[in-house]
Amino acid sequence: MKGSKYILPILLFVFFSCEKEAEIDLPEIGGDLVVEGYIEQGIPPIIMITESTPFFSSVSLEAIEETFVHDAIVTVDNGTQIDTLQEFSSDTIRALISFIEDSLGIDIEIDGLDDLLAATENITVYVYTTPNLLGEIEGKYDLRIETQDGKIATATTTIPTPTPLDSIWTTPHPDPAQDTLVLLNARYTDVAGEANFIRYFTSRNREPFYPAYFNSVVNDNSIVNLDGQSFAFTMERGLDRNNLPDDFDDFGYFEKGDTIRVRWNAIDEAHYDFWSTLEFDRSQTGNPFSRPTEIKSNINGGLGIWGGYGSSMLVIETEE
Amino acid sequence: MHIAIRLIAIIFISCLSANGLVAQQISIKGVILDAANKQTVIGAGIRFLNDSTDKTAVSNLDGEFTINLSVGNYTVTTSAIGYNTKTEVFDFTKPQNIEIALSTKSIMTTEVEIKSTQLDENIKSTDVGHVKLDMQDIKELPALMGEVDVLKSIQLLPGVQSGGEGTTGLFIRGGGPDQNLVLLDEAPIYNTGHLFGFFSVFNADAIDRVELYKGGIPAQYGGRLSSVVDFGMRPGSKEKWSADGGVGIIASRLAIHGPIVKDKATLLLSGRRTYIDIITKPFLQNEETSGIPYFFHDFNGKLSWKVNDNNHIYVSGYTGRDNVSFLLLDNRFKADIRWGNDAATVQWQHTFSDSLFVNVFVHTNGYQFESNSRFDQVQSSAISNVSDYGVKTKFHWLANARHDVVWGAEYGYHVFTPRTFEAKTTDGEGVNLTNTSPNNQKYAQDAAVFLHDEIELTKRLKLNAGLRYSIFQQLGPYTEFQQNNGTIDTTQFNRLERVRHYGGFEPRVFGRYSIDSLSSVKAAVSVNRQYLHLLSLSGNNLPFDVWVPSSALVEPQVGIQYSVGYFRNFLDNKIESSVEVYYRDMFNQLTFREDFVPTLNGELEYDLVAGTGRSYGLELYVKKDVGRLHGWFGYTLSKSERQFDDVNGGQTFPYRYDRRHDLSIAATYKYNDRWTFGSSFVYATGQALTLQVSRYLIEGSVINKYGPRNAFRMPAYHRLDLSATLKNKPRKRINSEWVFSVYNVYNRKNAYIIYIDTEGDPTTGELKVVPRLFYLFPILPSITWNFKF
Repeated sequence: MKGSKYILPILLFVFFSCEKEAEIDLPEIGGDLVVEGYIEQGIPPIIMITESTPFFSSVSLEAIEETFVHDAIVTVDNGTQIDTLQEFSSDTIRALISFIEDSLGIDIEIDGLDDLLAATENITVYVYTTPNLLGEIEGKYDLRIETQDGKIATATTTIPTPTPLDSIWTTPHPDPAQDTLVLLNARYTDVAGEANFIRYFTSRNREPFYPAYFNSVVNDNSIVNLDGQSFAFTMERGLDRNNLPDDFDDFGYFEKGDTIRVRWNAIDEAHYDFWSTLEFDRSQTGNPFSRPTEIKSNINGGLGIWGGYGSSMLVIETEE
Repeated sequence: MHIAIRLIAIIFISCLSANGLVAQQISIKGVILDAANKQTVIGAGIRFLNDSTDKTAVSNLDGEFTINLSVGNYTVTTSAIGYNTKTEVFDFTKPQNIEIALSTKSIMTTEVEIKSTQLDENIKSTDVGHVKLDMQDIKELPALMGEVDVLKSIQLLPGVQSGGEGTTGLFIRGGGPDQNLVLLDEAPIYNTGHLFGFFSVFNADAIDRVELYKGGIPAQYGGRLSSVVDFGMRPGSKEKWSADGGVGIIASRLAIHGPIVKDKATLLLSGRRTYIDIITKPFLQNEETSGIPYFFHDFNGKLSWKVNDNNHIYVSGYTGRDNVSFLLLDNRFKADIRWGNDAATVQWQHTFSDSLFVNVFVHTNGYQFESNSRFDQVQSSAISNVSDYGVKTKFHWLANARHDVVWGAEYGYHVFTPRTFEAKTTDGEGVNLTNTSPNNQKYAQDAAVFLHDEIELTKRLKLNAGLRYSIFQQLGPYTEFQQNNGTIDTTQFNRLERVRHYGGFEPRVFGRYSIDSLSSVKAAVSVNRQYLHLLSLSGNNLPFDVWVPSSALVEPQVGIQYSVGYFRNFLDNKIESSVEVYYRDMFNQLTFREDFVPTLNGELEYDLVAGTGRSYGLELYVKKDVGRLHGWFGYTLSKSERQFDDVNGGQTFPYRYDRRHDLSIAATYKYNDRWTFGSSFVYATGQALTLQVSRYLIEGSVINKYGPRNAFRMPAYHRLDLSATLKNKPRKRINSEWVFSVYNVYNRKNAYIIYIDTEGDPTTGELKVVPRLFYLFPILPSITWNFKF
């Protein structure tokens, strides 16, 4: 139904449609606890806790900073141990990394750390984490958050066994004029007899991993029943949503000479539902025919996501 | 229900006794003609009155009638919608043929001839929520871009809401868009709009009769909860071959019709096509799409064949398509999209006697949506359609002037292809996606028997009762999946094997009690069942919405409606008025789950939740149908709500098309023989909508949270349209007229859609949240030239 996406705007705009700003009275509702937390095999849980803000409240960096919830009691239970997480700010992120390195006796190399720090240099971000608990494949993790003002949120996630891609390769851009760009392709053999859910990210060169702009999640039943099938498909390049390219001509493509890395993460169904509903709702932004979609959160007592990633990675270097 | 059954029994007993023996009689046959063009007039009432007799005949689809009378002098009064009532005196001594010519409703006061007693149908009939529209009045009202639109005229009636700016959708008494049975010569039409509903599929040149039942639906109609909109296609002229049509700014129309065998058979062929695509092409050569790549067309045809005095055969057909075709992104994206309806009906009308007729209809009809597109190497196609095959038999017995019985049966077979999807790469290398669901097609059959009886029990009390029993069966092939303790059980149904059976009684009773000669009180109660459902993915009524049958996954809708009205005529019946109140409960209403994300596979029914609906309101209607000034005033005060356990936290919420106030004024004024002016004004409470109330950040970008379902309102909708029709002096044999029309005279920016857009970047600067109002039609003048020769 790709066509239907296009004809509506075209027909409406070629007719007489016009827009103007509308004045609507909306109640000021906010204050929901918002959780964004991830756990991956070999990596400790990292959790951000914020509060939602009224829709038309002012949006500034200060206002965003003010949404972070501090001094919450955050615990993660992996079935054998319950660990209490500590709060860190992005100002101390380098200190945080060395804290984790020292505690675990490992070296952490975070791809594109400088880019990441540059992107967040105007704002302080707060995260809760712990050096004492690392994600494990097939692990189950119960999260509990209690804020200073008595709000309680709980959630459970799992780290499924990774289901890696068979291979990735590039093909030329379909338009011969765009001879500096390449398209990323992948082949995947689905595990038969089980429901599989994936969220993937790409990175080029030393940039951070970004999810695909439109659809970062896949399941083996989402388009047609792909259970147990082996199939090839094209993959869009992940983009930094807060720093989108001006020119959409190269949207989704890589450049010749790029080193491309793909993180192909197995996720559980609740984790999948969150991204699938969120991305659908986001794709409706600006669509005048949008239908309100409830973003399906796995947080009891709040909004957002507590998600496990069973990650796998492939890297290729493209030719100049 | 029991009350209805008892009433029917009482009526039947009384009807048997009422039909006594009649003295020796003669047979009078006649034909009703339009005095101006000699076209036959359908549905005219011909009343034969003398001291001992009061009988009424109704002209059939050929404008003819037959009646048996005792020899004697009769005052014959003929009335028909859109014509002046005519009263003549006849002395019948032997069987004879008569011809009665009616003049189109004359506006010049000197010609006006009104018999008040014949204009009292408003207060004398048992009709509740039943409106017949006059095609001539419709044609003189202003129209969007000059395209006369019957459905939009219906929207001007009380209790009827439009789906938004410019659309032909009908939302009747708080019901949904799928709850209206729209019939074209007995064949259901599934999607009544062209171009996303801005124009109706009913070409006014091909239609000569339209009736709306928004309550008090007779038992012969079934399958929908809210209403019946019954269109009759126009037969060809009996007198001579002629043509009529029009040239407008977006479309042209042409109808040719006439006798193919004198006094035996007539034919009408009518077509319409838009030409924005052709007109804009030279001006938009450099644009990627080179013009507006869209057009629609309609074709109607009707053959009337009088086999002999007692047998008539009518064959009618319709086909219409919307077409979109374009190339984008340097030919990397190509799309061809087509959608539309088809319908064909064969009708056999047999007259057993002057009081007993049978009509047999055989029809096939369907709606098709087809999209083919290519994006680089990926080709995809999607199809959605529904096809019906049906037969209906309807007997009509005019027992006497005070007693009228209709009964019959119908059967239908349906094939649904809600949607199929296929995508593949042209080089065959990439993924090949085909919707492999075993249930891409669904099959069903339905059947009903009905009986409807109208009888005047006393001078004051008239009763109209009907009973319908309907069944609906989903048939195989079908694969049913059932959850069973974590495993999925599969049941396979073979072709024509019954998967599910639904059915039940649909009784209805309407009554009229005359208070005096100028006023009456009417009441109605009815139960309706609906076995088909429209699933709208977009929230708007668009061509990609899909129809699904009641099945193993979806149960039928049931509606119960109660209404009471007070009807009063004024000024010697020149002005009709009514106040009606209604209350309706609707069960098993469907909507998508709140977290539903459309995908291309599987059965949509798994993503539905069921709930209830309730609507009630008050309708005020004042109508003037005679004199220079015609028109009506309609006002509705109403409320419509829905409740689903799994939506909006289980709380009742307003229906999207809930309108607290809805006001319509329509008027035409005949200034002189050449100029007629028309105007319409509408005011409606803003549409209910769901909006974002708060936001939060995930992965650094803004996510919105929605507030309660339909808790917000668009600004109120109002609009004034004007028109003027100038009849040219006849030249040779050509009559022509210019129609000037102005849509949205005071250029109100009515919201078509309101949505919230976010712009900017919260991490580097200000993020702007902008509610936007999207409006479609500013002030739009148009001009149309109509001709007839």
